[in-house]
Amino acid sequence: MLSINIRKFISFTFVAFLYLNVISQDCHLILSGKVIDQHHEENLEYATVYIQELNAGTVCDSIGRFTIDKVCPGKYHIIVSHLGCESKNYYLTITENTYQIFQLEHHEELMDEIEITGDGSQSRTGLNKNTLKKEILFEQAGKSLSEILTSIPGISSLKSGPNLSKPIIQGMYGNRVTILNHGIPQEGQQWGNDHAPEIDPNTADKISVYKGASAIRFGLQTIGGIVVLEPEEIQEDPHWHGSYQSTFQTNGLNFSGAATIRKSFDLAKIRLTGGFVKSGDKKTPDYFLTNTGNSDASFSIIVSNHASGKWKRLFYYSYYYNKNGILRGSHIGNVTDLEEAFNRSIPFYTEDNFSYKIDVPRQEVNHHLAKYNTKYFINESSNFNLDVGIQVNQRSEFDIRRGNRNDKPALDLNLFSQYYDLYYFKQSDHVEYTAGIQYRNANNTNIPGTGILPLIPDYINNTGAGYLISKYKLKKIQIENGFRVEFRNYFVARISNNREVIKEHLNYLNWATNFGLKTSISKDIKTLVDISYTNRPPEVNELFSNGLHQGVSGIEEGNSNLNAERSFKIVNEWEIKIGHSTNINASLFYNRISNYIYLQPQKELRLTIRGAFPVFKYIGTEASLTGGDIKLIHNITDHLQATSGLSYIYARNINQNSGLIRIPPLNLQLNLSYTFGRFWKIHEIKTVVGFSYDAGQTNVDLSEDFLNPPGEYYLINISTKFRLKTKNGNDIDIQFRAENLLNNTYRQYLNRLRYFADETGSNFSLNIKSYF
Amino acid sequence: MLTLFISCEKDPEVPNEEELITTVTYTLTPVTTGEIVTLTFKDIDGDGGNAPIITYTGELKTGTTYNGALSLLNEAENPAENITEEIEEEDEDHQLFFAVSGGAESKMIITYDDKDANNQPVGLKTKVSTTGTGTGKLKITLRHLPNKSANGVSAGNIINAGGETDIEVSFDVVIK
Repeated sequence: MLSINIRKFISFTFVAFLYLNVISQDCHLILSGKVIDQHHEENLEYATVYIQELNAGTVCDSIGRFTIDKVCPGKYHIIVSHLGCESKNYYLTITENTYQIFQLEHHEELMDEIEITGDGSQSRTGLNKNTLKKEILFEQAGKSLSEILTSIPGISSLKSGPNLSKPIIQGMYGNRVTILNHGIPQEGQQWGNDHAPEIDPNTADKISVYKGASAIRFGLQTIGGIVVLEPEEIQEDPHWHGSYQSTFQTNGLNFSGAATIRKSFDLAKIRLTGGFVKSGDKKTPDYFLTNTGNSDASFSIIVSNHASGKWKRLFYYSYYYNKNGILRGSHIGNVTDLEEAFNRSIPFYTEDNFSYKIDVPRQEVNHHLAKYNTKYFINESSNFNLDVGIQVNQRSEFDIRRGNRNDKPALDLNLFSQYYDLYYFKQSDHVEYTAGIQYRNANNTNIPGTGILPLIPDYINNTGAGYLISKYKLKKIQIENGFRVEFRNYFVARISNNREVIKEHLNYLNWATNFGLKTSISKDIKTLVDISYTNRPPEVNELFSNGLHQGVSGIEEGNSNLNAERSFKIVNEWEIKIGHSTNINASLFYNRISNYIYLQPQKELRLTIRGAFPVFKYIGTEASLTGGDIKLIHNITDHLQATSGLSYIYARNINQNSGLIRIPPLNLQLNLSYTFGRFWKIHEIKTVVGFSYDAGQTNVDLSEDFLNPPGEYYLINISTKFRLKTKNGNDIDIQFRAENLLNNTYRQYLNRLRYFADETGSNFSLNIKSYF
Repeated sequence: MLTLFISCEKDPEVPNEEELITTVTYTLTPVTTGEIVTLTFKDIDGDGGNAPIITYTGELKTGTTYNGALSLLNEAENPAENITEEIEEEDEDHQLFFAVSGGAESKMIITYDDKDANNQPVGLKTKVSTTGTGTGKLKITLRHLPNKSANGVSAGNIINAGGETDIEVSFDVVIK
């Protein structure tokens, strides 16, 4: 038997031994888990989980499981990747054995749409949503917002030359489409068909489109739908992370770049973005489009507090600058000039050489947006919110003028707008509702010094609104109901033909409602129906436009007697899975609008000192639009995928028993993509061959246009994408792309410049994006 | 604090329309003796409002040579602004075209009587000679930045001229 002293000594050394073990690195922790697809919760086999600090990783098994052992306690950057997915970065603190599920976004489908489960309630505006996947945003780098959106079936572009385009959603554009820029409705001179939205798409981490009018929460200008640009939640990662991207395109010798960086500090989280575009004259297959260069610059910053406690606050500021050349040969005097232009095979003033110079005619736009959001959590299931948005939109348009006046703008508008939205959100087991009040003030000023009578007058728009959105979840059915009432006052100071200032006051009281239902008919079939009734009051340009609009080669006249548009719309969407390899998404709609406001050419030709001009007057008509789009994705093998999309709209001007002007023609797209796996140092190679076809638009009243719509055309595009990994495990994506590979000559019905010139020819681009 | 941003008044300045041309007058003065003929197109209130007014004084006589002078005014301003001077200052960038048609074609011949710094015609000064009798139309077009060296343009043929039309007015002409 040991003496007590020896027993004590042994206990002491035993305890000391344990103690020493505890304070030395206990690198026996295990990090294990699964990698799954974000939306379908399917396991992602052979995904890789890479820990940057350890310079080591592992490959998951055939059902997406992984285990990493001998991990020391600490904080780690983990990069999770999978073939056909965007890699995702996680920042984890590991102090004990950890089981983690990582979710990745699979590229397989273009969009995630109908969400039946609880996640759907996070969508703030409604049920039928199409989100562009990150892969599309990468592939379309260097393109404008509207061009990127055309990847979504049912969305087209209304163009004014190669640089200016605005989105058309199910036949609606301009005053009937709202763009939500980080939660604030974008305020610019939306009425102009040649005014593109002043937004850099790189400021958004996520771009979605809601078709149908369920976005009445944000206004009555949502008959066509709403485009939502939003940031992602900034991760609690105390290091700078982000990406930078550069693109070069041969057509226009176009250089563009964008960068995004994020960091979580003690006091706040920050995200910064910046971007630029520099491009010169674009080129058709046969000639340069002289004076179609453009320059863009943008910057944005988000500062938000950490999500804990009772308050959540976020501040966002963005600045966007754009200088755009307008095709020199499209600037014409009167209708005689226009008709001469039709007969020219090459536009007048076309130069033989390329140039970056942007001369008159041109547009210059500056747009500032400052947003503040504060959220007060009353408890877990209810909160109060305040959104404040201040915007300054400064637009100058320069024309070819006599007497050295080229540097004096012909149109110089400053639009200062404020937006306030105070709302209450409450969620319980089966019900969720949002009730709010909004105030909007827009102040439009023509800056003196143009020497030209303004086309759109000075005005102040005061709008007050209240809304209630409710959602109900019953087993497999989700129902949404929305209601909005809005009072609007316009104070307009216009200049009459006698050069007198006349002040007018107009008031409108309008409302809108929508009802939506979505359900799973079976595990493979989901459907939703959205019915809406919206009253849209006329905008100031529709009431008081006055003057010769070079852009339409005609005299435009507003109509102060216009009534609000009444739009009834029903949208029915389907998501169908057939077996394991085929997905179909279809969207059908019917839209019946009374008092549909548009510019109608009058029978009169007005005689002026410049010759005769047709007169266009804003009138209301009865209109109907019926149409739909369908997208089919079929995985022929694990690596080979075919997608096809078709969209068509049949529109009717009922009063005139003819078609409606500027409705997109039938569009068909076919794509075949092959994804290779790992090859030497390349982690993924994907090649896509695409074919697109646009029919000629025949459903139009030919007397409403100067020139018949152009005929049908097709285009072939191919692209190849590589993914490499840096030593740190971060992605580098490289893409080569050829658009209009065959250098086809064609004109588009929805491009105003079709009166003067062909569309651009082939365009080869190189796009590199690096993550850190 | 918020109300600081909200203004309730709008007082736009009526612009001084320096480039507006309201009045085109073509004055034909016989080289020897005879009646002065003027053709005037006047649209004081611009594109909207009242229709333009076309007035004539004097009669065109056959077998006569006239000195033609074109004047452009902005009579919406008081005193009227002389736009002819602006055209003269930018004469290389402008050219006037005179097209006689209908029954007066070949009975009224109009040729240029001025030149810009590049020895190209402008058209503010012209020579008009009449033969025979007839009734027709005279169309006067002012082009900004035409291609004066394109085929036929310096002879007065507008077909290849291009540029933008700043003036396009038509008059009835009767040669007696």
